Amino acid sequence: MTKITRRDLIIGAPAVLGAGSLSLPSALAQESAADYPSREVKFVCAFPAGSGADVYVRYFAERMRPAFKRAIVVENRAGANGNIATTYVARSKPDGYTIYVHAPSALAANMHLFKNPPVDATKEIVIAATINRQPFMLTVHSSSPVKTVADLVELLKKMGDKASYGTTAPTSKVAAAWFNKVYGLKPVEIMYKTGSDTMNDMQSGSIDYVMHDPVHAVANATNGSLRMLGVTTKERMKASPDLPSLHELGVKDLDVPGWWAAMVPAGTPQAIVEKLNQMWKPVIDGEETRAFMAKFGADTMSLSTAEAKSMFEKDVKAWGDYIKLANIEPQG
Amino acid sequence: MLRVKCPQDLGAGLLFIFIGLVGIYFGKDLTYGSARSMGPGYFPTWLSWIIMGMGAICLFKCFTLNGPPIQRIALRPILFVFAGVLAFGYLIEHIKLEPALVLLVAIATQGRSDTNQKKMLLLAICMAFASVVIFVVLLGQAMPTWSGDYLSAAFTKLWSLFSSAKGA
Amino acid sequence: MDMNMFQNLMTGFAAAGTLQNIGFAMIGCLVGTLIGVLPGIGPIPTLAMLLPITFGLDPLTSLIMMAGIYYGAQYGGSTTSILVNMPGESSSVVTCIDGYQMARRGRAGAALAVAALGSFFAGSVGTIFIAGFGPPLASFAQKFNSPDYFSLMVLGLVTAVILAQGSVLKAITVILIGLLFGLVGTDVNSGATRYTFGISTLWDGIDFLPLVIGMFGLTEIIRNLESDTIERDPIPTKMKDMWPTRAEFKEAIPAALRGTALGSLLGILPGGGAVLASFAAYTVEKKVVRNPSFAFGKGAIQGVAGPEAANNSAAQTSFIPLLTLGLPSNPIMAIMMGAMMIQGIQPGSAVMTSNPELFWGLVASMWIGNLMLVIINLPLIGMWVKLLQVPYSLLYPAIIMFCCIGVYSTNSEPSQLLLMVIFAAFGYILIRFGCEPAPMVLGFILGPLMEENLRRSMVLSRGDPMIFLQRPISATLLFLTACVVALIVLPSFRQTREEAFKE
Repeated sequence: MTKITRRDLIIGAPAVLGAGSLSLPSALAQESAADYPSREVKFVCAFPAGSGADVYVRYFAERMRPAFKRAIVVENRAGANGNIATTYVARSKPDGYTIYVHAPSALAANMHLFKNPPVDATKEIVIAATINRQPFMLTVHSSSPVKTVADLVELLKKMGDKASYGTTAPTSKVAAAWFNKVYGLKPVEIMYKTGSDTMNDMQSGSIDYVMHDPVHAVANATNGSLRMLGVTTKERMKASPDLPSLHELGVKDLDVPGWWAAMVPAGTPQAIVEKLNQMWKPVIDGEETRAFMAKFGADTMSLSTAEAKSMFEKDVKAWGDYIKLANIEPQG
Repeated sequence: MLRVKCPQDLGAGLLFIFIGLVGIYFGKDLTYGSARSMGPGYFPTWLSWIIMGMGAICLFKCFTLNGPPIQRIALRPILFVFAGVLAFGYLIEHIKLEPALVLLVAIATQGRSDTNQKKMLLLAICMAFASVVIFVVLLGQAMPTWSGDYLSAAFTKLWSLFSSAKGA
Repeated sequence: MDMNMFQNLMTGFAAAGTLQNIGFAMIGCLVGTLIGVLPGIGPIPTLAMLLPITFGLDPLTSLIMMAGIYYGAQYGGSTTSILVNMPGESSSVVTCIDGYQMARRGRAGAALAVAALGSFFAGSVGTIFIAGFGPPLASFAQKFNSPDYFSLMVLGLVTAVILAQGSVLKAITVILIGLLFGLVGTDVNSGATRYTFGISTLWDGIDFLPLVIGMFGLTEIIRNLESDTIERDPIPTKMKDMWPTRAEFKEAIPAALRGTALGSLLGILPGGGAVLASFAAYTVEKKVVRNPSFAFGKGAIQGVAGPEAANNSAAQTSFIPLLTLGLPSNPIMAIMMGAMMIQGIQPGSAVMTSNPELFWGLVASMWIGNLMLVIINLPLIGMWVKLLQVPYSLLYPAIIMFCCIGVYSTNSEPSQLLLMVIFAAFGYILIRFGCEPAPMVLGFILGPLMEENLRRSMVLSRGDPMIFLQRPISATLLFLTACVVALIVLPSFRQTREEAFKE
């Protein structure tokens, strides 16, 4: 039974505790970056075949084929919300043939969601190329009288602890907790597995707002069942330029995006990492990928390896504060 | 003195009580919460107690109502089939798919004493290659194999020959 | 509405009936049937692998092919259930019970034919259902809130008790154990891991495949190996003998009708709907049919026809929430939704007005797909039955191999095979202690959903359990549950008393 969620697209949640031995970079038999890639390349996906995340990975396996000029196999190492795949990649040979297409933001979150994360993400994983950036969205049901964030705040203030709100993932919890705190709101949190699960309870008015992932939010706003009020990134998204950011509406500095990247194990020769960055860049910047991402409410993002590294490190630090804010208890 | 009238119920009762106990024991570290805000331990703890209660009733019944006996448990097929499967699981990453499959069949078929060893080995080898073709070549499953690349190449070649012949 | 429906369907058949579309429907059904027969490689990974190919096809064609794979796999799963007692997916677990018994007494051909024809009939009805009542049904499904879902699952689990032969007490407990197994893994609400014993494979819960293949496939092999004569009774191979007899048809047709009705209704509910359908259909058959020629559990043809029809009509109507609301009701629908979104189509009610050719084309293709399935599968029955003539001593090593590869391929973890062995042992012990393992599967699947909805309902009501009686849908379902309980408990009480008096 495959568990599929569109949430998988956004950010993984909890994770595993495994044994933590890792293979050290081997200097022997490294091929030069000029010859790379000379054989089949493996894309590792942290979710089961058919999940939302898998759609992303297979999309890129298809789009990157011309650049690699080699066969690309997708390997699903599902389990433990991404940590099985992360451990697997961190321990594989650092030769550029095992590429982890996943969300560094999820790796960052996992560093704090668990008391003993199996992999020290920033030390054992290197980002070769960034893919996209996506917000979570503050939404209400389209039948709700609430039209703006100000309306919502007023309603929630009036209802006090009679109000309820829905969350679907750690990022969703963090953004919602932040929002509630800034306005001093006291709604009760109700947790859902996927965006779809929230819809009936939203329609009946049992929950007053949900911090939705962009895939679900955009799809259901387009078909008229949801109203999006704002995004959780500091700036507006190019994919949804009319949608205000919560930061500009008064939730100062709220900026919790999810983002995706192609990653390799630490120890991969820098020349190969740079070459990968150059191979991915034109595909990410291309119109086709932009349009593909826009459908999921995301903006493409191509950064240099150095920029990606500092963004990753910043994220890992930020999640330490986030989980305190959202009152998430790290799990053993 | 108590007399077991239904051995099946005795077994089932003990099994249920055991599962209930495991559920309660390993669930005791989980936050229980309250009816209003149930923790991760609430539902499983309740379930485990009920399972244990059911086990107790079963146990009680086995002394009061007559029932069928437990059929003989044949150890030989169980041991060999399980051993074969486990050997496959733990060796596939080291010796790759084809030998692991042959070993699996070689062990599992010892579950019967009337197995024709030679025939079975031959079958195992043929089936191993057939499996590579079906699962790795045609269905594109990522699995460690010795012959997968060669068989894939052969298939691509055959396919191109076939399509060019059709084109001409 | 009737006139419109006719016109709409014509639009649909015009769009779907092109040579290219029919060709892809055929390929889809064929691929689906084949992967359905192989354990492990279910429809979900296959669809995922094919997803990139669909980038290049036009939207309707790609959806038609994917839908074909979905139906094909549903049916393929039933084929292995009947032939070797190995359900490929949750909805065919029930088919094992009587289908495999029919095969054992040489009626595999009849079982397969009834499954194929019943599925075709149910699929056709399901299609008409979608065409005629899609939108109103969808808005009914939308009325289900967390408490209603909880009550629905309670009803489903209680009806599953009837499924089992023998002791009601044991059946209930086995279902509860299934629920408990379903809870293994990371708790959605708190992130705490439950009953994982430090094994990382269990962090996402027990996988479905090692559980069913272990409990049904391997257990069955072991039970066959321990019998004195390993070979089966000779199986008739003439087409005439494989076809269902008139008497068999007479028993199967009403069962298929009931299954179709039940499946069409349950299919629209997200989550456990389609699985509940086949279990519920079996239960209904067992209660409704007074004197079957063969007892249930011993190869009653109603036990094949009803659930097979139910799971196929549910497979059709599970499209309703996706097509009308944009909500996927199961993982396969979620992939279909992904495929639509990649093609630039936003699933939901807007599709019907903005893209009527696609909507009605897909509806029409469902019928075409079901027809293909019958065309492909009726001739294949001969081949499958021939397969059973292969001496069992050669067949079983091949089955074990496929089991192992299938389970290993789910995520390349050796521990999955250990799990499979553990469940095989568990299944074997259950049978030895007189417990039927099939109802456990339903508990296993519904466990997490049930807990989730219970917890959510209780937060919504701020801790007041009366919420389950205050909501009309939930109250109705609980009332039905009470009726079913009475139905189960009364006869078994009487029986127990009689036995006690005999003493």
